[in-house]
Amino acid sequence: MDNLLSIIIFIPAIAAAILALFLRGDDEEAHRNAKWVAFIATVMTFVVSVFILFEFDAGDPGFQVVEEHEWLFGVTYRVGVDGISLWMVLLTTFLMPLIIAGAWRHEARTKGFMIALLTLETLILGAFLSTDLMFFFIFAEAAIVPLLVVLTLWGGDGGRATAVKLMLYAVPGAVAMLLAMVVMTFDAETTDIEALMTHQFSEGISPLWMALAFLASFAMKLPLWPLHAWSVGVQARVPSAMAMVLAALLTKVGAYGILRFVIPMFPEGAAQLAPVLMWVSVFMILYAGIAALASGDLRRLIGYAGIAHMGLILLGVFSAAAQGVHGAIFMMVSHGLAITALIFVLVVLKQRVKSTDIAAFGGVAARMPFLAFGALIFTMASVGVPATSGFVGVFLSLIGVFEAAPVLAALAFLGLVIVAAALLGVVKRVIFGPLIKQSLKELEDLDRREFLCCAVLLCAILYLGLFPGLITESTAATVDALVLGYRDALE
Amino acid sequence: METIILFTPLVGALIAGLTWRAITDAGAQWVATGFAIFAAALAWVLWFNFDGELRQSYLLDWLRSGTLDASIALRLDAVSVQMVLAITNASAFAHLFALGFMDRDKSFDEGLSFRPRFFAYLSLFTFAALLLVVSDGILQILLGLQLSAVMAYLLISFRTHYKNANQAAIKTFVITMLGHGAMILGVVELYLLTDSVQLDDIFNALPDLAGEPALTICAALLLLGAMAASAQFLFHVWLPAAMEAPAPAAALLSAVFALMGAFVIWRLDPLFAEAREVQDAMVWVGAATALVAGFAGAAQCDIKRTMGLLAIVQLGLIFAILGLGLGDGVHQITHAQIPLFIGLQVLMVLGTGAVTRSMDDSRDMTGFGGLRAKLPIAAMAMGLAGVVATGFGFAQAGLGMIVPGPGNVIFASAYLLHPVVFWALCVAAGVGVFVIWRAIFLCFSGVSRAPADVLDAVEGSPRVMNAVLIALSLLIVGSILWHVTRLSVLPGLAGPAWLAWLPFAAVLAGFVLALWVYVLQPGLPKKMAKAAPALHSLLGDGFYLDRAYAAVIARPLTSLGTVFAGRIDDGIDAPFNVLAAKLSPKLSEIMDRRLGPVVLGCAAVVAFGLVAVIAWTVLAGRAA
Repeated sequence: MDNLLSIIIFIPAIAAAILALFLRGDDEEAHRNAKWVAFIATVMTFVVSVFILFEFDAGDPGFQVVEEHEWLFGVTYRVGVDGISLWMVLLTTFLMPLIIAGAWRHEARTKGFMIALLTLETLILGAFLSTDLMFFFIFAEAAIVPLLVVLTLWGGDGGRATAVKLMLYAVPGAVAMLLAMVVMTFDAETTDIEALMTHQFSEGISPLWMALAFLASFAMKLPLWPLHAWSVGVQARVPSAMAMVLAALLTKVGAYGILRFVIPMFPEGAAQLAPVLMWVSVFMILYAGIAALASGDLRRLIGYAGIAHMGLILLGVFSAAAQGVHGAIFMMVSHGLAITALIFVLVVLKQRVKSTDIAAFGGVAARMPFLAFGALIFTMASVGVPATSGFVGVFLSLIGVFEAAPVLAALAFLGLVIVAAALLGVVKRVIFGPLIKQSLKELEDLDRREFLCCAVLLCAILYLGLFPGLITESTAATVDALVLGYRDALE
Repeated sequence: METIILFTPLVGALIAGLTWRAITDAGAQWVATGFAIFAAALAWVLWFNFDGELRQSYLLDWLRSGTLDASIALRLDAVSVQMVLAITNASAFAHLFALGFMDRDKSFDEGLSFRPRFFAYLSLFTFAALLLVVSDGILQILLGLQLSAVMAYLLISFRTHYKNANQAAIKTFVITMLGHGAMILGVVELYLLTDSVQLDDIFNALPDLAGEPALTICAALLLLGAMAASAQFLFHVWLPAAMEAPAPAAALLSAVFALMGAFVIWRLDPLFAEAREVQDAMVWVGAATALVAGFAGAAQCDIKRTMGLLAIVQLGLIFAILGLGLGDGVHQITHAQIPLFIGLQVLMVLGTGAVTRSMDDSRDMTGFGGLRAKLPIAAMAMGLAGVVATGFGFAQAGLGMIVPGPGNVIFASAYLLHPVVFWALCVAAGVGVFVIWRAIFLCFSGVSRAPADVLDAVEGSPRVMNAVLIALSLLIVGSILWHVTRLSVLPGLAGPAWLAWLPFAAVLAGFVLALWVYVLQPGLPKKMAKAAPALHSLLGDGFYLDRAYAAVIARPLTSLGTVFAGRIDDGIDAPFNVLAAKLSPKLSEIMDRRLGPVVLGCAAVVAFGLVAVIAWTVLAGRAA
């Protein structure tokens, strides 16, 4: 297939266009149709994306399945996939159908919401697959737009103000990155990422400032402390499906960006920033873990747990050791699965109890044993218990980090233990314990659709925990080349 | 055969846990129990046929990255064969005991059957523990450790409606996870030093690493992890709490799960032998643990917590033995002591289970007494445990470790390390024996202190429970006799003769003191408690460690969390909020909520425009 990657990127967008142009009405049937169109489109995207695996050569560190087409104004449309983006793409296409199935009971203006989700999928896939600076910028920055739209329309009373706030967080970073990209383009006279990765920038261009400019944009998406303050609130405000995309996928664009631009293109700048950023990451893990301990709301708890895990991912990325980066990539996938699963549990509970206040629950396991089982495994996965996908990422990252700074590795694990305490504390208060509240006595366990979503996520988490080679073997060549290039540049 | 033994409990768990609706509640329990017994029987065959040669069998590739290659493989040597035998047998007894024990468990009041789940958890725990003890690589050890921690969490919180069960489960999981963290760092360090995580490679690389500070750091990290996993000093608070699990589970947790830290040290003995300082620290840690847990047990009224504390005393002594690192001599003792610990602990906790079950789940020993008539088998089993622990009549057994005589190499070498360690171990062994007999006397001797109606309602144990207690008792006696005939005389150490006799005198004193205080002078305990209320409360409350942890760690962290999530995050967000609030109305004029669909439309148009242009480019096929 010559245009495989373009097809993957644009199937969701085409489905969104079909919904926008052809689906009329605001009744139940229209809502159902919108959901089915979105679901089928995302499943198709996933199925097509699996074909990348057949075309992918694990031994080749560079971009593969490349497409290049000259575009307007001398810009070239370039997409390609390498060991790093491969799993980000598969994570996105794998999760999107589950997210849409998970949000099946979403009823307010379903059509618009599905359009937003589909558009977002196209933009996120575009960001992961672009091998051109300009396209990456367009996709990555435009990905905020559907989020803003959803906040405005589905975000409740303060939604609009929150959307504006989000813009305030996003715009300076985007501007900084754009400026950096302009400087790069003028210096290298190309926007081809592969060429830029080997390009020697003129001495006048400070690698530190360039790295900082890119980080300014990625920090908000990750989110990196102290720019994290928006994320918990926004996650709590948007509909759960959007919260899943935000926590599982959009955050990964930030981490991916660092691996794609900051480390290979400005190694000196990255090396200068790494010690600081590693400390910030560890602080972030501890900070978010401790904040999670005090969270009285499920959404906020999951939000903070997510931030802590992003800290771990960043730590692996900046360890700039092969295993650290391997671990970070694995953790990006694992975290995407686990956080989606946790939010999914939240959705199920919220739909039944109409609350996310931890105090509103207790003893749910007695009525919902399947959900309880799922919640427990998902929690274990997110705290890195072996045999779940969580362990592999954490362990590999810690190897990388330990090599660079043993104290940081110890503190990071301490943070993970705090997150575990927070999550298990909430599992105890929500899922276990005596079932006293009258309102919970009639709860029904997962229906068939929910059970299927849960089971698929569970299988993925356990499969990757037992057979991590699926990911580590296909990322090895790219990561090794990345780390080698980084080390060479510093010597 | 080892592969079959390993996977038998897993298969049993899956069948019981997943198909119980089809095979009925009772069917599921019997399937899990049957598989556990089958595994135990195979373990006996394996043990009889084992020729002492190291055997390794590869199962699957697990984790590969760079030079890291962690495959799942089974390692069969004298250590693992013995552990497999002990664990599968303990598990079979626990399963069988649970058949009787769980039949009227209060967890099952809600008309929902959770029994198959309990049996599945027991079997899964057995699988995790087996996976650990047959590990051929250190990462697989971690895998087994953490999987068994997850199963411990599920077993402890099984009686989900018990007030403390969930708290205890979290405490256990979090403390052991802290330990696993230290162990992971140790493993990482070891990997960076030896470039491998497989045991053979590590052991082969050790001669070149002798004396390296990094090796000492690595051993120290592994020790720290083992301390948390085996409930050693300062980490020990989880084990008494973990006894919240139903008795069959509590037996496995205190006898097998809590032993795993010590097992890791035993397994990695060649590594620790190269880090003398860490081994010395291990002895000190063991002595301190045994002493603290022993004294806490001496004033504990809850019979289950008492059994937890007793396990800690023994684990402390085991740590001390391991730390003394006396080469082959210690290996002999460890081979005898560790399975004996598992057997004794399982016997005592199951005996305790028989008592609490009869007393309607009451656990306050001060309210028991005179139960020997109602529960003769349990009384016999616990009595046997007491006798074995005291070392009466049995060579190479008991908390005194070794009978008096020149063979008492453990205590003698502890003296050589430092006299304080020697005295601490002696006192701990004595107090440990006191604690066992205290529990036995409080439960079974004298007259009942329970109200008449409670006593009348006391029922004997179901037959299956009694049968388990008898069989396990016989097995313990048999295994001790076997060891007695096999163990060669250990080399004596130079030192005064009393060194060899004092440990025995200490355990004897523990027994005599318990006899005097709880049988001959039954009014004495109350008087003593009244005379020194502060001391009584200090010991009974486990030196207030739980409260101290809550005050120093848990509460401040939660308060700090409130500050982080509240003040700091809000503080960071505030300027953005203010600006957004100012801008928002202005933007609203342009983008009124009613225009939402238009906004959406615009966004869609932009997106589709992009799509259309790119699609045109792609389809036009103007490849660069």
